[in-house]
Amino acid sequence: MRTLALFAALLLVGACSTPPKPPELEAFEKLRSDPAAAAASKRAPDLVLSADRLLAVSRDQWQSNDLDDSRYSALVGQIKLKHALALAEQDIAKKRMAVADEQLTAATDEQLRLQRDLNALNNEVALIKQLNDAAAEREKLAEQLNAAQQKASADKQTMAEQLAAERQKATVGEKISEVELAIKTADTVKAGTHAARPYSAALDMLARAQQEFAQGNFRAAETSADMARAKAEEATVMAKPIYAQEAQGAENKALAEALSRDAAAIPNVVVRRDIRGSLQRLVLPIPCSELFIKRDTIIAPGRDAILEGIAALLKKYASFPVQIVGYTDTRGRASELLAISLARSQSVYSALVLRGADAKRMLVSGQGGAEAISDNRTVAGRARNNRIEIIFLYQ
Amino acid sequence: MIRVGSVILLVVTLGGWSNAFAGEADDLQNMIDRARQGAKDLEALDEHKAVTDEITFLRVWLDEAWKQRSQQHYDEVRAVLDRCDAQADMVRQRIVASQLSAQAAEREKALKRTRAKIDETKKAIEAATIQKAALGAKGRK
Repeated sequence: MRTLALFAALLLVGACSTPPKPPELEAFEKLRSDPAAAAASKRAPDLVLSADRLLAVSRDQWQSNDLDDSRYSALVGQIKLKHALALAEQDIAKKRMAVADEQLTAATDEQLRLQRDLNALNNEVALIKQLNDAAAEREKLAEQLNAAQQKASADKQTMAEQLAAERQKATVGEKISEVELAIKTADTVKAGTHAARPYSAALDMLARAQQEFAQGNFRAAETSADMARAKAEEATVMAKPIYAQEAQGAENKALAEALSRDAAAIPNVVVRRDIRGSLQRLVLPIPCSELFIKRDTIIAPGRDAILEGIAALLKKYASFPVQIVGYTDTRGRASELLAISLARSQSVYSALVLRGADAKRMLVSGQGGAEAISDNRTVAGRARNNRIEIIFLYQ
Repeated sequence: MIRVGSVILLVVTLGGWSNAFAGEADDLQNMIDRARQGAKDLEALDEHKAVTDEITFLRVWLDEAWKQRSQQHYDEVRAVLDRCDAQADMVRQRIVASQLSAQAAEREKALKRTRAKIDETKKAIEAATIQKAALGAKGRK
């Protein structure tokens, strides 16, 4: 019984207590306590005031256990408060937008200015790069030009050296040819015989010059060639007079032999050769009986035929000096004999000059009875001693 | 005669009363339909999906209004419709606020991008200045 009474009392207390708060009211209160609600009350005070009134009504209705109305009031109050919050949010957003716009404009301006600066700087950098590139290119070209000039200079020098070498080679070759010519010239005067030492030296030098030339040692070859030429010329100079003398002698000998042969061909003339010192003589004795009558000194007419042959001989062998010497036998005074012999020589001289012989090369003399070639005691001997000798002189 | 007249009067009165009720139901129906169309429009406006919950509440409340209207609880219908109007206004303002916030955020994003660009440009200027100095020194050699 007592338990039942206690249960009934608890039931009565429970029936009289406040019901649980509707969730709409709780949400409303939570929303109202949001810090943003303060800004909303400034932006839309009427709406917030109305919401506050509804909040109070909703609480009263909840306290009065009028839950449906409390829920309804809380919902409407929330709507009004949210409306106010939305308006406040719009203002904030507009303000943010304005600030952002302002800052964006400033930033855009700054960005444009910086971009201009950067563009200008980039242009400068590009320009400097171009200048540097151009400078580098110029330097490279200068180096290439320098290298090309050096190469050209080296080529030129090489060519000059080659040319000089070729010239030297040609010069040396020419000199060797000159040496060979000089040696041939020396050969013509028999320098090998008459100047054996310089000639041999010249040959040795020539051989050395040719060897050095073949080895490409042109300078040494030139020196050797010069020396060889000098030796060859020396040999030529040394041998030439000897050779000339020898040649002249040979020539004279040959000429004398020819003269002797030609003279022997003249009728009534017996040619004789004798030597006096270094001189040789070809003597053509003409009996006076062939030219003169008795003791006359003038050539008898019709007896000068023999002189034709003598004159022809004189003209043919014009280089020989000639003596015309008259001789007599020993009958008579010596002075008279000398005069006769001289006169007869003069007559022959004149006759020969008349026949074209060179007067200057002929020497006339009379020896009288001297140098008899036969016995004067006999008629035949005296006839032989009366004579005119045409003497050709040579070495 | 009086009895017949009374009956006629009663019938006429009852008929008028009935017609009046039918007109109110139609009005409420039209209001609910307009409110639903408005909710659809708001949903389309809510590009950022900022008030999806609120629109859902609005639709639920309109359904409740329709239900009350079907039960001919016209006063309750009007009360719910009033709340829906307020909710629709609030939703519209919140959509506007979200759009403005999005625009502000977009501007701030653009500002951030511009500032980042400024920083990049400043760095590029610094690098170009150093490069210029180096090139100048190289050119003078």
